[in-house]
Amino acid sequence: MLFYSFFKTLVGKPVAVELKNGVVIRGDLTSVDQFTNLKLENIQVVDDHLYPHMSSVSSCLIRGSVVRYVHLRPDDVDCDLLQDATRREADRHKQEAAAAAASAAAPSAGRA
Amino acid sequence: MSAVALSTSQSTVAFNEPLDLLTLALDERVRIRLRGGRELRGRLQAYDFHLNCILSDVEETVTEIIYSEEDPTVVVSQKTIKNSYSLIYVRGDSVVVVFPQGAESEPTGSVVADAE
Repeated sequence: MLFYSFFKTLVGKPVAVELKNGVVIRGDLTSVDQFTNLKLENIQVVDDHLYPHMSSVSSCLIRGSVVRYVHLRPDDVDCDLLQDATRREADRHKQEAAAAAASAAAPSAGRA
Repeated sequence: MSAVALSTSQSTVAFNEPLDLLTLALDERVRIRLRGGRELRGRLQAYDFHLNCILSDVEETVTEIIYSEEDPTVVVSQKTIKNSYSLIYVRGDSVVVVFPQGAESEPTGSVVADAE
């Protein structure tokens, strides 16, 4: 969920999405979902002469799984906040795992 | 549990799982090897358990290897392209290995030999 929340903060900002097949699409991020599928508007394909079939497309939805990189503008991102969020998410995961292990070890103890 | 543990006021956090290495590598330079002969060096800003990452001050090295048509074990040519990016999100499904503190050290052996 960390990156879902992260991309939600980037809605409205320009990004460049590099796909696994090498196509790079620049555009404004308009929405994102839990699979990090990305919806872009005002898109422009980098090296569009290689992909003429993309030239008439102005908005698109990119399946999250085909993304290799998303290029971001450093000004749009607070790196300290990101590091904190990452630590918190890792901690939360660990505690959930510990709680799950505890309840699996003693299912009849009735303790949370 | 015989793990190294760090006690804080709220909880005890044990550093004994693979991803803990990444927690320690936050805000440090890391080297990430990706599928398709790609390698990234950059400062780790965020990650999750899929190994999706955000890196800053990134240098990407793409190694493209052309093998002989007669004998596919023979390397005909190898070219390397370098790119740099200020900030990128990397999708975790293409990540192969993450080397914390490995950004400055050179890999032993070539990317070619290690990849196969």
